Amino acid sequence: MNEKKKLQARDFITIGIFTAILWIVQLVIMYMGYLSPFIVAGYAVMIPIVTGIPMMLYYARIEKFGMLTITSVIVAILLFIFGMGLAGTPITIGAGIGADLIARSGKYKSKVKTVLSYGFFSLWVSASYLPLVITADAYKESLLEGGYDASFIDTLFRIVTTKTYPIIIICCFVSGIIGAFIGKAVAKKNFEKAGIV
Amino acid sequence: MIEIRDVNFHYAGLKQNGLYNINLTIPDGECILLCGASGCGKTTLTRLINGLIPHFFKGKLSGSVMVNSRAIGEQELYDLAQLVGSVFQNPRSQFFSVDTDGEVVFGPENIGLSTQEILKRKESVVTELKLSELMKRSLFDLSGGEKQKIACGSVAALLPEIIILDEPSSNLDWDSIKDLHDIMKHWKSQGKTIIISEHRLWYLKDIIDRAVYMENGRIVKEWKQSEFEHLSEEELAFYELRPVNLEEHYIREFGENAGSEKERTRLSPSTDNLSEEYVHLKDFFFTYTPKNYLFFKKKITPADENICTIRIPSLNVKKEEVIGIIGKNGSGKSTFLRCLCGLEKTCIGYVETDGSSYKGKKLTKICYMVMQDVNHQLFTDSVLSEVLLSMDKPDEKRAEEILKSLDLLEYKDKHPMALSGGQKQRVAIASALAAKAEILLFDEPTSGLDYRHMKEVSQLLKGLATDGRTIFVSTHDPELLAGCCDRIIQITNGRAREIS
Amino acid sequence: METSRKEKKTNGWIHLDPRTKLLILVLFSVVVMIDVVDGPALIIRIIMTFIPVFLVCLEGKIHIGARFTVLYILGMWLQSYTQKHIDGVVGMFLLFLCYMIMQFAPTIIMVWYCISTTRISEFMAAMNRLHTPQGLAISIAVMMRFFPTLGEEYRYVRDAMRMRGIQFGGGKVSRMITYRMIPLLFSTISIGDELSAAAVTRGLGAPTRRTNVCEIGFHKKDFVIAIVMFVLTIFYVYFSLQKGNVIL
Repeated sequence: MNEKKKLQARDFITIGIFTAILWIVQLVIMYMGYLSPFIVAGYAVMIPIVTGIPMMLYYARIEKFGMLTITSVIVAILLFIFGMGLAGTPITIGAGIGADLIARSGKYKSKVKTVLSYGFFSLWVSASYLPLVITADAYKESLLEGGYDASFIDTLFRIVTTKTYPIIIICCFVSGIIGAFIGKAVAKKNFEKAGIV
Repeated sequence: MIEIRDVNFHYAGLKQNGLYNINLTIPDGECILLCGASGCGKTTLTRLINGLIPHFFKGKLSGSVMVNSRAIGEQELYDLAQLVGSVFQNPRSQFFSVDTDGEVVFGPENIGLSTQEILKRKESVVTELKLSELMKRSLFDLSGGEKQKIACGSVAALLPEIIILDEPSSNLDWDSIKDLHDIMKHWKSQGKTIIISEHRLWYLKDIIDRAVYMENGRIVKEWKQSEFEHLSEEELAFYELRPVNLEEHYIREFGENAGSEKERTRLSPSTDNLSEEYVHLKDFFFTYTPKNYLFFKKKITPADENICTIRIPSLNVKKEEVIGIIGKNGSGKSTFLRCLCGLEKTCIGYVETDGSSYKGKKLTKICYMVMQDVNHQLFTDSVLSEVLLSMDKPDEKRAEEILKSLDLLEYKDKHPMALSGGQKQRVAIASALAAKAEILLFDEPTSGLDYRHMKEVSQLLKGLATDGRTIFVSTHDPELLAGCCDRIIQITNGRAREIS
Repeated sequence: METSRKEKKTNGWIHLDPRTKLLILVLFSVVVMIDVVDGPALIIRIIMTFIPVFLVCLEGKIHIGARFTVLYILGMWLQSYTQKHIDGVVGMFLLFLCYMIMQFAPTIIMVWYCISTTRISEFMAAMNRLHTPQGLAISIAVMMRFFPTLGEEYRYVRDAMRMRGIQFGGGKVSRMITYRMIPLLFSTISIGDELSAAAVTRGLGAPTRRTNVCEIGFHKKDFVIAIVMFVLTIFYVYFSLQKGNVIL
């Protein structure tokens, strides 16, 4: 659809809009997370799957190199502002660039590459666990002092530790792949059927 | 001068809205009206001139489009911005800034003019288009008409020679249309070329020099201003155009004199013989800004009348009638409809019909609103499942009957969003019927519709009423009132008054 | 669309430079990042929390400031009460609720303050001075403009769902999500297209350097607020380091 390969004003507008949606959706999920540690651990699964729907539409709307990189930069900025620190920044932006590269290798048309690309992009979700992992001891202590139930803290830190971190990353990736398939299916059922993609 | 020669165009992947063999020359300073049914190619033609075709919308284009002897296709959109300005249909989606000042200077800032020059332009645009009251405001707090004025200002600040307006009045009330008319008149006096595509014709007759009538992507007829002004009713009906001249009493009802406070009388028709044929609305009081008790909002009572947005102590309407609701934007029409269908939780009003009383949440059981933008109320991936969704127990047979009665049966497996605007509206109606709603509310169902579709809506509303439903319809279109309404209620400052 | 029309100033009385807002936002996020539960650091944290509240009040939104204050105090009280008296699942739930209020409400009020008082052209000007690529600046600016629109659209969808009684998607989570997402995405696409068309016909994307008419610049109040925030942050970090907290 787009002849020019470089991002243009119109594309930057689309990027802004879809990044806004991505952020709002993940914020809603994050808030639910404060109900239980299992949901906190479940971010890695829930966020990639739910945001898969808007993201698959996003992939279909632009199809140019740089879209995911810019999205990831904005997400990294927002994560920092919301108190996630800088440790996750390289992961977030790396995931964006990587996802862009994978998608480009399939010219943003290949279904397999798009799915893989979104799986890789979903790694940004793991960045929000990083503060939890790195500052585990201090964090644990502050939670204990804060009066949290010891068993609860144990559960949380048994799920999220330096050792389980690779598992979380894999979870993000796999959920991203699942999310991409669900997103593709929803897009096919709705957006393609309505003839707008 | 704009010269369009032998143009054919098809949108990529779309069968509709193409253009065939278009030839049109528009000399400098002419004001030209493009009219015709929806989908006749008016909008497509405007896109040829502002460069959105071929730069923004892709498709197959042949022929040449030249402005001042330069081809549009060879100039970049940002260069064209200073030559051709465009005002679009939807006031909500065409601003980039969040504040009015920013929006007026948005164009000049983009093309990198000097600060001094920009401020000079802003000042002159604000005086010329009388925008000073709207400055320093948030765009999200403006009405549709005010937003459209700002859009005009934003375009004018780029000092284009050509201004294109694509159905600019669709979402506006009469006062705003009048303002829009004045702005266009001003542009004309400045010698700008104006191209306007529109369904509402009555406000344009003294501005345009020429009217071009299109059908199925072709130009089939042209009128000079003098001919256009005197088109007979038969001719208009033949071309399926909306009226060029309006009857005197509509101008009174919609125009400036409407709803002066003095005339206001409480509406309570003969309360003595309240038979079963009536629907009674009681205590409809509502405000968006209740007294704050920090956390709790005080529950309003009829005694709070003076702070209320809606203040209708009692209103009785006959069942199986179509009730037209008119009033300026901001008078409370939409708010009244929202209260009536139970969307405003703090509204204390209740509806009595057939001996039962409905209040608050229960109102959603008997009332159903077809929203102005129906896209918000379509949820599923096929027309049939959309109807089934509204039923307590899915009953495919009944759903198909409903669809059949609305001429939608052949589309039952299509995606609702793939349908045309009118069809989407009917899908929304179908789901209301499936939910067994007795009172149907329509929020400006004909804004932006052409003559034929308006007639269709009008017939449809009548039919729904004959089948036993009570219809409330808010509108700015006199043609719709004349076509289907049994009585007209005017809302002014939240109060209702019946107009005979 | 008939909304209640209130006169709303887009520029408050304390009109800070967007870059100052950015700076306090950054400092603030450093503070939010480090958890503390007692000692002088907690006091500093509370002071810093109330700086945006104070700024919001100065914008004339006293009721928002007041509501936040009550909520925050309630949260603190509930937290200490729960720590002492309530155990088990209920206690855990309450603690999390408090944690959410204490942890996120300040950030949200801060972000809300920054976005609602910054005009798009001011933001673009600030980004320009900070040498941010224009594409990124456009994307972020659109995002700022799009949040309220998204809210508006969501309210329409929610109303439509209420009218049909499908807020809970018939008890299925997947439907609860898709019934909200699908209409929202459809309207997002059309808004996006219309917005882009309007923006490009008004010259967005021209290769020339964009002018920014609004005057941005640092004034006394910018320095005062920036210095106050800076000093507080340094003390905060110092005190929490003493307690052994790690900073990232």
